[in-house]
Amino acid sequence: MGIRRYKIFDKDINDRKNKLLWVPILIRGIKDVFKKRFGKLLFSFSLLPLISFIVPLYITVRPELKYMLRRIKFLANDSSFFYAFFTNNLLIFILLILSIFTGAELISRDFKSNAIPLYFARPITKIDYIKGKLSIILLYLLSFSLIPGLLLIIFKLLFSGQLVSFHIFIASILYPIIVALFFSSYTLLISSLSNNEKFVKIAIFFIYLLSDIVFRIIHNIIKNSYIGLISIRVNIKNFASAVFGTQSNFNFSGWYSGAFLVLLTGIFIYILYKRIDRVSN
Amino acid sequence: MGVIKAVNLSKWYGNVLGISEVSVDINKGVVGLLGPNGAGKSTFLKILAGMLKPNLGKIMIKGKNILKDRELYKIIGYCPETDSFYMEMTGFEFIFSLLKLYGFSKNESKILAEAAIEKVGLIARMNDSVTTYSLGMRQRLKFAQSIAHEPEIMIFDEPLRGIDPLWKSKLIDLIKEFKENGKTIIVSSHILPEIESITENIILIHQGKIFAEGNIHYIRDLIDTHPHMISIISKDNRELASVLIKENFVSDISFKEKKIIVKTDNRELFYNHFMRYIAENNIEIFELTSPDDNLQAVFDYLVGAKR
Amino acid sequence: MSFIKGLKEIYLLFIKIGIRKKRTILLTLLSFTPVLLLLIAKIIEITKPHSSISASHLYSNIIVAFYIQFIIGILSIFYGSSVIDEEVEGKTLIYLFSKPISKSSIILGKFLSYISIIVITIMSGLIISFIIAYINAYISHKIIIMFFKYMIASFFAIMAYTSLFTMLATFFKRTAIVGLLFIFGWESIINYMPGKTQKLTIIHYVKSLIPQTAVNRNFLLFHLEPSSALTAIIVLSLISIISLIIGIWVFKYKEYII
Repeated sequence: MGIRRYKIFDKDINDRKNKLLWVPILIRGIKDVFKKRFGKLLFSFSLLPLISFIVPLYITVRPELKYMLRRIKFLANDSSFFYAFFTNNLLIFILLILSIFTGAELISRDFKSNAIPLYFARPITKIDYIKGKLSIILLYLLSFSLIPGLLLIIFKLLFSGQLVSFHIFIASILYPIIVALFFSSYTLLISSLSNNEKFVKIAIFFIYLLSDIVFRIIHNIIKNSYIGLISIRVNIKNFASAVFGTQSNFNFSGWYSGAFLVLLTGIFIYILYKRIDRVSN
Repeated sequence: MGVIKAVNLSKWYGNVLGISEVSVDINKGVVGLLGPNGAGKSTFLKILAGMLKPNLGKIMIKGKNILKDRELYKIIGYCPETDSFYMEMTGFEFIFSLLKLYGFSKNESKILAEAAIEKVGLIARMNDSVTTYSLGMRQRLKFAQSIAHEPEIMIFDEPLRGIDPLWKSKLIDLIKEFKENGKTIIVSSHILPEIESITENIILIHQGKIFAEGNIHYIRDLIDTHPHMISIISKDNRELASVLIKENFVSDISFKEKKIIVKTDNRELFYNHFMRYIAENNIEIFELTSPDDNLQAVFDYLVGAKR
Repeated sequence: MSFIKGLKEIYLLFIKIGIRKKRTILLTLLSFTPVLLLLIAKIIEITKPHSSISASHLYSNIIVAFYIQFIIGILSIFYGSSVIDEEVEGKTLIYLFSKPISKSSIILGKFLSYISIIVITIMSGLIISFIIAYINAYISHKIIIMFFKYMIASFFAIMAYTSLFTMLATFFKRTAIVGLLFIFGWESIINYMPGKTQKLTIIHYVKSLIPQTAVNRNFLLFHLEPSSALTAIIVLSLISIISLIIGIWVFKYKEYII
């Protein structure tokens, strides 16, 4: 009996290893987001940064428009161009809105409807659950940051016949992934803190902006650049400057900001795991 | 004219039908509104309580249109089916605050709130937050808010759901007490024994339509054409069956486990003949039951017939 | 029950409920973060007289902008849409609709109670910050006028934004994202546009009521071509009144499925 039980258990484990059990959560989530009202409108609006950066890219390859290069500083080289694309305020704002739109209710709704135990009545683990939910936000964020970035690289090749350097290519992949991971974990964590979807949506936005305003105030009090680590926006921009090799506006390495963002992502996922663990037990 | 008069009420939610051409006169006493889930009970009650506006038809409370006279809300007590509360309040504050919305003074509200809370047995917990209440306690609190202002008309939507048997019985007694005091009460449920224990006066609703109303016995007469079912367990079921099958009033006989199920078109004739037969032939009968005497059977039959 | 009595009872009910909500407490605490920081600045300013820190400078250039451009927007979206949303989603509207109170009293009473909560949060933040900033300084006539201008601008901003989002909530189910897009998307972007386009925002009229300093002009109030104070007050009042009238009208005739 004992051996038989063991065999069944062993088979279950093997089944688990073979299956991507979080994928159904992802698929369900993608469908739900797409069904939302104004979803398509928001996604169309989210393409605005890409469209607005294709035009300057075109300027760089037209000799008759070269005079504009002097006026538009970010057209000086690939590093500053891609840095400007990935850190422009509109794109960051869109990523924030997309996080709220796609992820604010992902966990809060499960909490509200007491659906968490239902998930774990199936052979999925808490990690599968988090992976599934995280990948929903990640997918949408990367669709409007990583993919437009890669499209810009392709457009550059088409317009000028020149490839970007390997460094820029890797930076254009690494940076959006780190930022998207950060926003996804941040959104999920806030979503797990309240059953009230509206409160979650506002809190995601509130904390993001508050971190920046608090940085400004403290920076005014103690003129120390490292205070920038408080601000999500500063960290994102500073990290981008390190990744793309541009001049940072802050007197500390952008890699610190990058490491801090990764650390925060890890902490957010850990707290999230603990919260789900508490609810499911 | 009844206390409540509904004429040709129809209500749609977009393309979904809520209720259709419902006309009913409700007088003082208790009326049970029966129907399966999604039958339109809550929609009907919400229209009666003035929560929803019908697309067609009209609803008159004591001869007045409720949608045009908000003062009528003072004489109506409505207990919704949803488990919703202002969770930031204690049980007492919840009742007290809602009483204030009827225009009662602080003192009056306090006295009425405590009286209502006492009736539903929550005095000991009335100063605790609603968030700490169990489902049954919340249900009783919801019931209390609907009776606290001592309304003439009481509309209870699934009031006994989630309540333990002891308090179920107490609330049933309370409803009967209200009836004795001359109130007009409508109680909805999809659990037939609950309604059966409260009243004999019922309205059956299904797929948004009322298809029977009146006394349970009157409804039973309505379905006389439906064969009446009797279950018998005797010492020798086969012998008994062979005798019964010869009678005109027996339309069908079947065996189920250790029972004989007899269907008859004439209940009275069956019982007369059957009693005489077992007495004359000294037949031993262990059990004689009629599932059709239960309200469930009437309900099942009518719902089935409409389908 | 009379309109006024109904209004009063609903107002008192939702003041009681509103101030007990955990969300209210949390938002209020977060709104007070700059006050705490200003206090730290003041302590440093007093204990280290040679430092370049000036709490009064911080107050008029950052703290006020923080409240007017950020906190008021966030609180207005949250409370404005909550007037209807939380009743419908929480299915508690049924308790209000079953009472002999007009629907206008219900929406207006709840709106006024939430407006009170926002006004108290914002005004107390501004007043405490002002006291901290100027506690050991000479308060000139000019500073007093400046302070009252901040208060007036904040009041009109709260009224205009909250009534706008209350109105939107009577039409749509989820107004939080619409609100965030309006305040932090539309109202920010349009500031960069030339000509009269910035007059299509609420913040333009609010900024027109705020005394401008060299710093806050650069920090948050860029490209401002202010309208006159009278025009700003008239426009903000009109936005508030029209939004409320439309909101009440829709609430009265729209059927909420609870």
